[in-house]
Amino acid sequence: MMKPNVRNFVRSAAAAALAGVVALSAGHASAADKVSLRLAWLLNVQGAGYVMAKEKGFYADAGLDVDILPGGPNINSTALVATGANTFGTNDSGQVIFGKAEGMDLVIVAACFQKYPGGVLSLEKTGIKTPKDLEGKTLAYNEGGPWAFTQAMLAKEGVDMSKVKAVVAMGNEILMNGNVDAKTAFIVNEPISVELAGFKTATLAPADYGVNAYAEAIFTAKDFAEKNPDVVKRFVAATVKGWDYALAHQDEAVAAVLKLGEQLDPEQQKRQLALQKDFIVSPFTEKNGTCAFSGDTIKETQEVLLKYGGLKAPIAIDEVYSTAFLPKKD
Amino acid sequence: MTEATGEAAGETLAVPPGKGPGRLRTLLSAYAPAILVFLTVGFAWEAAVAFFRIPKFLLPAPSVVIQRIIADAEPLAQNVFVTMQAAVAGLILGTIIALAFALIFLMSRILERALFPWAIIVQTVPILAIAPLLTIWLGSAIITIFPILVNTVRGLRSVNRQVFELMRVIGASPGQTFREVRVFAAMPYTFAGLRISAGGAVIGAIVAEFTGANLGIGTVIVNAGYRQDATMLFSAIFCSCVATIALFYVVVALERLCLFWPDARLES
Repeated sequence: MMKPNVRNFVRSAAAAALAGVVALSAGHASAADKVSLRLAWLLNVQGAGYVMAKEKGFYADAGLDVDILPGGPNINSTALVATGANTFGTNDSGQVIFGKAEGMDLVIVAACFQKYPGGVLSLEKTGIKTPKDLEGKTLAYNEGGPWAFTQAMLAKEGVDMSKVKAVVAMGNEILMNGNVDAKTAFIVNEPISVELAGFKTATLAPADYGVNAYAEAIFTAKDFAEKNPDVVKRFVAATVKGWDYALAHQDEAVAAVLKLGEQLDPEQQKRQLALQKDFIVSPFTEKNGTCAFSGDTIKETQEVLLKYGGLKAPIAIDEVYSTAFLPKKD
Repeated sequence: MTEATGEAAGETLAVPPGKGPGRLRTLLSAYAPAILVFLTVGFAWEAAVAFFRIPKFLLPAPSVVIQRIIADAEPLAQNVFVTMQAAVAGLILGTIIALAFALIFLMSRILERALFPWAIIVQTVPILAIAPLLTIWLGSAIITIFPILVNTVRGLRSVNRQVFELMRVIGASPGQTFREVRVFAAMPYTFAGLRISAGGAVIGAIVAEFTGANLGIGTVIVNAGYRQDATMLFSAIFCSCVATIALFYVVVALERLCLFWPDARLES
């Protein structure tokens, strides 16, 4: 999902500089509010909720004309929203915290993945069922979100790191080939690719061990939220409807996403959306609504990043989110 | 990009060194224009960031970058050192492979026709895509082979007919002809290739580090990306540029050492 790249900043700087001028001059219209949504990653079922909100007219009903734009390895949604190049963005809450630390004035207004989708992926036959099982095993990692949260999970579970052989490497081939026993991964999509290649997999999710961050957190620039609270509320409410619809009508959602992304594998996308349901629906959302979130989890995420993610100093954490834009649950 | 600036810098070095007080003036006239442009660009950048209030997560000012480099000098130096080790190892390995194939091509036209397409294929593979499969120095080696190979083959064949006839007349063996004529004819070409490859070697190492390394400028760049730390990103880029330029000058120095006879240098 998030694979930062050398050209991240350079590209987004250029794009933002250009698009920022456009955004500033556009102002906002009275008929339908024109807003853009910059996804954290390439368009796939990870963004099924937004696609369905647009497809089924939930955005239009809310008086919004939403342009859904893909992210990718060279596109940084946080910087693009912070500069005003895009109105809304999605990313994991950790990335918003990092962005805030670098001076991006962002505010999280909703969070659709309740469980952080990064963790440890292994083949089922290796028998890694708990974090402790990693002792004596080879674990491939590369820097980034999943590794930071995996380290926090291993520490919390009292895993002796001197017994885990951690190596830097990436690619699922090394796992299937048996070069390593486990690897850090995004566990909503990577296990499916490995399974489609004919291997049974097992995953460890830090979120299951109380080490969590939100993914598909929706954020906007603080300034925009203050000036257009109504637009933000309408956008969040329509997005929530989109996610609820996508989860209730998965085949339709997959078809809509495939229409927009021709290189996607239908089988993989179908299975990913089914798997995603566990990340989106939780006892918390059943009580508070889809995409609802709690500030406590965001604070916990900051703690993980301070300890394992290389975040140098705490940020003004209360300013980085606001639950005021969430729809009231009736 | 690196090659272009390196090439330009190489030209300025080619100014004949003077003696005594004239020497300082020569040096000054050689380097002053470059330094002036550097300073102008630096100040313009600084002023633009201040004037347009460009946030530091988009484009940090040079002063901010320099402060970061000073503050993090130790880890940066350590990482640059690791990358440069890999780059130099890759450059040496790439040079050996290139020279070996140049010799094979010289000896057999058939083998050349059979194998040359592979040299082109290796050159055209998008290295980022195969980076996870490579060790770091191999990434450097792959990038360095082609320029050296092509130039050396050309150099080896650049000897004109009369020279061969002369060697035959004086009764030189093929081995002697190779050692005394071909090698010297090829050397300026090989070094021209090496100049290009020096910059490529560092880039190859950095790209390979993106996906599988504990240390090195490539990992610093990936980490800076994850932490959205544009200042660190620019610091890493700056340090690797300086190191690459240094490597380029090492190659230039080697070249001057090896090409000692008059008329040896291709460009000057």
